[in-house]
Amino acid sequence: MGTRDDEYDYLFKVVLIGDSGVGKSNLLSRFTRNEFNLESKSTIGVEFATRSIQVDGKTIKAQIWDTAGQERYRAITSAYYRGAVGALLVYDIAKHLTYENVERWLRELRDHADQNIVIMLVGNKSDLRHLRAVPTDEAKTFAERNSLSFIETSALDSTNVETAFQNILTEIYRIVSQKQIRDPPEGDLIRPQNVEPIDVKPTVNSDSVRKQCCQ
Amino acid sequence: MAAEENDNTWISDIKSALGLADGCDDVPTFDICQGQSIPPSIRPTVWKSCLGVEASTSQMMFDEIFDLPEQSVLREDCQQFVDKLGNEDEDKLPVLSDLETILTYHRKSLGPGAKYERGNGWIELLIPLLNLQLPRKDTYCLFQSISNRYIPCNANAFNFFRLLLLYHDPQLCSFLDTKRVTPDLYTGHWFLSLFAGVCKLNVTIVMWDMYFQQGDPFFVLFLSLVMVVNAREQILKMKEESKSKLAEALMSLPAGLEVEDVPDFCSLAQYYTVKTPSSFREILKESLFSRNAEKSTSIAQALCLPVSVGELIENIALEESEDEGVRFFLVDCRPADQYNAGHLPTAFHLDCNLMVQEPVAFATAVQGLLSAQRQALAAGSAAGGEHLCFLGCGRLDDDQYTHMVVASFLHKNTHHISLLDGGYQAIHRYLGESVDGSLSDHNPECCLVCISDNQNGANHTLTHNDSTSGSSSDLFSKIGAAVKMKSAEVKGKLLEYIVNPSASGGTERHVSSSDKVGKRYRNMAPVFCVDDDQDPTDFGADEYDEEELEVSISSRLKQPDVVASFKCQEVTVNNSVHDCHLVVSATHIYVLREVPRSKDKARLVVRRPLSAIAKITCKKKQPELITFQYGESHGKEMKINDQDRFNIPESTEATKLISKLIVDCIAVKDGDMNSNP
Repeated sequence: MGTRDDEYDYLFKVVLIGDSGVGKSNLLSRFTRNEFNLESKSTIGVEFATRSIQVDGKTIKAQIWDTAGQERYRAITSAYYRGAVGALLVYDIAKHLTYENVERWLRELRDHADQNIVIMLVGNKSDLRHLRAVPTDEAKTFAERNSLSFIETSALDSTNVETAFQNILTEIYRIVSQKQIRDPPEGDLIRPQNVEPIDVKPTVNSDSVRKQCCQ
Repeated sequence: MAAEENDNTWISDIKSALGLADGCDDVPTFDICQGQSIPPSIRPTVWKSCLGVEASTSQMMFDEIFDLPEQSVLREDCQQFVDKLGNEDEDKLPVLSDLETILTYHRKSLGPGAKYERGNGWIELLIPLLNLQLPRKDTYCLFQSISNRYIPCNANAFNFFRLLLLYHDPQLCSFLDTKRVTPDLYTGHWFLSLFAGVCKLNVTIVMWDMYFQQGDPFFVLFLSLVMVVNAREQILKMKEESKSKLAEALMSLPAGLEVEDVPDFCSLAQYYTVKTPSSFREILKESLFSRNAEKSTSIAQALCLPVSVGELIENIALEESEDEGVRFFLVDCRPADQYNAGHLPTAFHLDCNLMVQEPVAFATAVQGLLSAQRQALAAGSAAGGEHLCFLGCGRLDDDQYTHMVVASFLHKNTHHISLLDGGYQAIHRYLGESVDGSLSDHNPECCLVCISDNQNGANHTLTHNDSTSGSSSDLFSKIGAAVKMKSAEVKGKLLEYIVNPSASGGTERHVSSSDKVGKRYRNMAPVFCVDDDQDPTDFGADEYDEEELEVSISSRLKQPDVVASFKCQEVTVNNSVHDCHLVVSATHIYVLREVPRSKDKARLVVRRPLSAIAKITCKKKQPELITFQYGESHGKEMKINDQDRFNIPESTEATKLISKLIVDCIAVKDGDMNSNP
């Protein structure tokens, strides 16, 4: 542990999901490499990139998994939800169908991901103003109803891409660090509870366990 | 002159052969014709012979009742078609009547579930047959035979076609995927009418000559593949065009074929057939050409072309001199510890965890792998092949990194990428009892398949073997002889390329004679305690930090070997604390470290034989803080080389129990040693 070349305080796994063609790969490349490719190819299976950001003086390394939106990869991609602490559920503001399918993607997450996963609804391609098919308010209401955070982005002109990732990573960080304060999973000291003498402890418990298992 | 003479001989040969042949056997026909086109005079006879249509159906009667619900549509379509044919008016009527009668009959014979639909290829398929001018019932029999044998009847065909395209031309496949031009949009018409719907009539007939002689139902897929691959430059230029335009252009490709092109076209398709792993035939035959087949999701969701274990193993055993066909370069993507516990001798290891953990090292490893592949090819080694076959563990959840590695190769447009169906598990099961002889470094105590089989009751492998071991056992001896020496050679070279980029225990990639992993866990499963494993166990500085297995706590605790378990906290060297379960079996202690944020999931972080525990200590001030020290015996002394510390609330019970078990364990062991002369 800690032997990797880059140092970080937290490592968060985040998945990018949503219909094929909504711009997941370009969101990823915009965030991790500040690149955008108009002729980007359809993703095969899953791709992967990382970037570290600072929150409250801590280094957070985001491990972002970009999954293929096409139906044919569904069996493979759902395996990647496991262990993810965040999900960016992306739709295309110019294609209403991709917004309608958001419910389906939420179901996918419910079925395969951790129940505490932080989900952010992302309306991408906000640069296509004249083609807008999903009103911002509608999506916002939907997100609130489903307790998701919401943002509109454009990977093409970079609008809000940085903010979207910053927000979700910060949200995850808050949850994780609060959890640690509530019940610290690690520390330099072992909590000195139950300092009873060794011979006083009841032996019933371990005996019963043993009986169950041996038979 | 000579050629002409030849031509005449084969025609007379085939005439006599057909006279004698029983009609079902198409092999002699093909041998004699050598895939040439057939003179019109004997074409009906040859087709009937190839398609297995003989006098068997004399009972058949056409009832001439046209009462289908979709009759009007059918009639209208037939009429339109006949008009397009441009025959003399007096010829039109009989053709029209034949068409409608045969198709109505065919539709009825399929039962009420079937339906004539506009564009389902029936009319197109029938036209070339009507052209033979045979009696109506012969025409029908030919039609029915072609329809049953050669027409794919569900979407699996399209999915599989895409996999073929991905295998042979990944760039083109990716281009079409990106344009959302799925194969059903353009190959549907080809498949359903066996090209009759798009090709000119004379071209269709010559193509069918070849086709029926070939007798391969999958041939249509390869013909389609050639069609598309041949037009790749033209297709790739159309990147600005719309999806529908692209699909239309693709669909009309076969229309450009001329009669002279057909032999080349067919021999190209044959070339691709040979250059494609063949196990898809077993996997798909039922689901592609049988009407009742269920939709096979495995092919619809496959990342790339699947290869069966049987094909892989046979392929390894092939003689080196056999140049034609597919040779695999096998890439084992499992984590290092699993690879080290058993792998095929020709398998090259590419640790897929590197891709996530150390992308730079991964890139180096891939370069090394490709160089090794080139070298192996140049050396003509049995381990060398142009076709990269990847293998993972065989469980979807554990193979996510494997899939990502495969996807990365596909993304780079690497040709000839396949994935072993069922992964290492499948190899293990296939090899059955000969697993020890056929795998390299196989260690039943660490091999996950052995362990899980052992835990599920040893019967599983045995019953499974019965079906395969008979056919495969002599193959394995061949593999052993042919491959082991060669692979050692190539592996040596590979080692030069792949340098270990970090010293962390989790990322070692290759087995060497000095490797200690194989003998780490002793006495784990009594069944396997038969080897020469008596030398001191080396407990290396393995930290178990990255590569541990994820298991379900509840199911692990329910397993029969568990004597007791204790909730505890592991205290690591740097004083961080993890919630754990200390699991005690009669021979080992295990520590399952809970995975944060997921219930019931844990990683196996410690697994030590009881016999390796040299000392158990606790602190006076903190009686729950227990330290296990491990070591190896040097004479009477134990040399300590590793330790684990735990905070165990029930420390007394735990230490008591473990001490007792250690004593028992040593007693048993001593007993064993004494009984051995």
